[in-house]
Amino acid sequence: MESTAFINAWQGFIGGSWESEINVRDFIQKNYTPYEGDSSFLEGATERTGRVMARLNELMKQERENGGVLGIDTVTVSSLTTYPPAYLAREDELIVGLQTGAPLVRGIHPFGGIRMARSACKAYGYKLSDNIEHAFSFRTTHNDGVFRAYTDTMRQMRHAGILTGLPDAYGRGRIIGDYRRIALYGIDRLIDEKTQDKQKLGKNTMTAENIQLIEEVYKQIEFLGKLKEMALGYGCDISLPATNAREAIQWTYFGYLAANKEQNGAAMSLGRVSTFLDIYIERDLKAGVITESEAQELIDQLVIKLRMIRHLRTPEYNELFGGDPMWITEAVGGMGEDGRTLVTKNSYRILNTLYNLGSAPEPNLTVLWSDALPEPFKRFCAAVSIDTDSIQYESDDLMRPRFGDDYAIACCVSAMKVGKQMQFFGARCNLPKVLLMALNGGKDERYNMQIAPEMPPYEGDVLDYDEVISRLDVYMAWIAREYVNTMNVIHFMHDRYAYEKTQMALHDTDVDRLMAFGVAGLSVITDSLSAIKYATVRPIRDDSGLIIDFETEGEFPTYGNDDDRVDLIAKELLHKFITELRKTPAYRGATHTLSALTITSNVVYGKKTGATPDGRASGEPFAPGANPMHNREKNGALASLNSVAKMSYDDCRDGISNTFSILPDALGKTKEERIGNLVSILGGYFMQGAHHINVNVLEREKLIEAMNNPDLYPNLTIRVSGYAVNFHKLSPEQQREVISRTFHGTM
Amino acid sequence: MTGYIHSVQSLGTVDGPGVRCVVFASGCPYRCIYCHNPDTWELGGGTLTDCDELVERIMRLYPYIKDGGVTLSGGEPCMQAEFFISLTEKLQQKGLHVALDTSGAVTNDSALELASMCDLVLLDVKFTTDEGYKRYTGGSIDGVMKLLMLREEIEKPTYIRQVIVPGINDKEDDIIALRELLSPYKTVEKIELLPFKKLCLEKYESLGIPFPLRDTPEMDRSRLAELEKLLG
Repeated sequence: MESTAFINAWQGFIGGSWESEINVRDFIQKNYTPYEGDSSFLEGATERTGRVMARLNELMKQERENGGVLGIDTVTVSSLTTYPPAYLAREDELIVGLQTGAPLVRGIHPFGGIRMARSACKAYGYKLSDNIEHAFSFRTTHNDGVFRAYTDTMRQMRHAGILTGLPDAYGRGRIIGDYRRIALYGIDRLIDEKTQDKQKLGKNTMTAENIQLIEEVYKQIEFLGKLKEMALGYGCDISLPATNAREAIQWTYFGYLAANKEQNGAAMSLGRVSTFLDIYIERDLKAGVITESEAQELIDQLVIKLRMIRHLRTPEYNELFGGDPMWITEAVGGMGEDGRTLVTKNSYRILNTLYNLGSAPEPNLTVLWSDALPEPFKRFCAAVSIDTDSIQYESDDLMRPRFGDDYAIACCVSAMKVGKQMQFFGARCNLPKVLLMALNGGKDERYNMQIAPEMPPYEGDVLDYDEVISRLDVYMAWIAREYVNTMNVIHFMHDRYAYEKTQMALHDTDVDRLMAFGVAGLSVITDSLSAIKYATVRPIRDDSGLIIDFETEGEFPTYGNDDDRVDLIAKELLHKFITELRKTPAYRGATHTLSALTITSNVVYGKKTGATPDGRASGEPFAPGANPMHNREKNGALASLNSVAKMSYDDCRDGISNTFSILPDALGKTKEERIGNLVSILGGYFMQGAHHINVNVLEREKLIEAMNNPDLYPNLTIRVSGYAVNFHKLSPEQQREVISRTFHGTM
Repeated sequence: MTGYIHSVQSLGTVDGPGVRCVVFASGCPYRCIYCHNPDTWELGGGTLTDCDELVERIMRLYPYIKDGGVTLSGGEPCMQAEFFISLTEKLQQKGLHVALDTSGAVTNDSALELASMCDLVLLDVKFTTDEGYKRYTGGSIDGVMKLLMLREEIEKPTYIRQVIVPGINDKEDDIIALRELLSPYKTVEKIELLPFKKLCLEKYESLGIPFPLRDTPEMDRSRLAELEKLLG
């Protein structure tokens, strides 16, 4: 009986090793249809989609008017089967499934930390139910566990803001379940495989590691069962594979939905589903079961569902990660290892949702750029960027040799093989503070508190480059070790108390682990070191001898001008830092990776950092990610891009984020010219080994107007650092910082 | 060989086709009343730059500009024609398309050589009459006419540009005169009307030079679009 079901579901597909083992990549490679044509086949939204979207727009308006949160279910602990099935517009919905019992209502995720759940409720005028409070008074959360093991130094580093954004009070995120497996194999087959894995593990010596993994696989199997039950509530039996396009999309979405019911991870990527789903759509199109308009409708309706995902956050969290982002990142396009493009018609369809449904930050559509991409696709992407400011680009030519051709992007820029690799996400280290600490002999410049090992503070009247570097080396080595240790504590506890059962069930049991470290303030520390090297920098001390400011005299080259004298300082810093990080072993044998990515936290990082030798005043924002400092770029956009392109991806395997804003007029006179020029710019940038770019094509004045009259621009979307936001959802501080950034213009 | 360079703008998309690197020369013999780059007037105001170094800097941008090219602008590049001949030769050897943005203010032998070798000339025809030139630029119309004829002879493309200033050359008759003036030249591929803007006000203030058109309004875009229609 079961085998008949498989024969039906897989009818027309070319067989391969994907049949006998869990291997979605093999299925894709054997069955997908590359598309090299243009966008002329695309269809607009159907009336039905229009009605569903209208309903959502109405609810989102209420959400805005309600201060950003439409409602909170304070009595239910969010999980796969804790809410009854719920709908947005039942008659018209083709893809179903909501996170909680009502659209846009946010759920409670106490396993990461009950304090965070409590204070988030409070911030929006709600109270966490007594039942949940009571139940969790007997439970250890991830947050409890972490703080039991944190050392005094770890707490101090956290407090002073040397390490910020640590996932120690909520879901760590950045884990991408291979949701496609549900559509291709059905849940029962996945349970079978996991059961066999568990039996195999039982034959190993029972070390702590082995026991831990066995327990995890047990939980995975349990949650696959719940996933089936959840879908059944919506009338869908997902124990068997999907038999058509609608089911394939629905089954895949159920997996993603379940992950979000279970976890409130900081970044919950979708993965790389569009080309996979295209196979089902093509089969149905060929069989005459659906039309192109219906195919687009299915993708539009999937995207409507994705746009409804919400998590409950505290105001402090929003300060770091502004704009209520979910990072429902979908990797689109790229090339296959055999040289065929992975662009399909569905790559176009998912980008087309930005036209059919209006521009929006989610899902976080990420184009995997290769020089070899079909030209019409490059041009279509460029047009979408110009029209919507909603997509980002990452170099497939850099990532494919390192991650194969079935990787996806977690969060903004973190590549991983889908279903085969996972990541322990870990915040960022504030490098300018480390520099200041090195000058002050281990003291924090704002709190005048000894945090790092003591050394006499810098004594001379003028900062000497070599001496500063040798001090910096000492403190970079120190912070690197503390940083790895802190991450190890966090992830040990997360695995223990808030393990991602659904998402890890959709990974191979023998998973490869990455531990992702980060830096903030790259351009600030780089320009500071350049000032020390090429100009005269005099430290200014307070009465206690603490260096709190600097007097910088003379010219010095700044990062962002394609000037090797300073760009190579930045490159070397990244190399040094990852080298130091690698010296301390990471939890569960994870591979250390590094990113230059800040999200919107560059504002908070700046706030927590004293004055720096580059002339940045105390408290002023940093530039985001690997961006040059605002308005220090004097040679135009391409020189700025060239500086960023010099950073080594092998040092920064977790991504190098660059956010690029350009005025429409500076990109050319006509739409056609602008498209061609943007394609040239992207091509040139990636050809030099650059990793990532966010593209905004807009006028600064429009942002200022939107800041003053948010109601006029409810859907104004801009790319910030690795993701897109609704501009109106940023805090006034974040908005001001975005406006102050360099907008490359005409001369 | 060295030349005085005001600046290098790595991304230009409005001075010739495609993505281009724009090299701004220092020095200009004209003093047009609407000039938006008064900081490029003085030859010595720029940085003395080695030609090979400049080539190296430009070549760093090659991946972006390989389908676009390089535009020599200013200032008036023809004031340092020898230097730019050498630069152009080297860039063309690398396979780059070179455009010369000139006002025809200098037309000595080297300037004409430079104008011949460039793949494209962006010719700034400021007025259609010698009177207009005398009154508003301090030069004469002879230079642009010479360059127009030169490009016609060697059959290489030319784009014409004119800044339209309210109250000075924004009448329909002005545009018709421009069209008539250019109609015999088959190598003229494009005529662009550029709106007068006042973004340069700050520059004038910081240089301590009075801006003669301080009180003139910026050119209205829709009016400009109307005028463009007259070009056919």
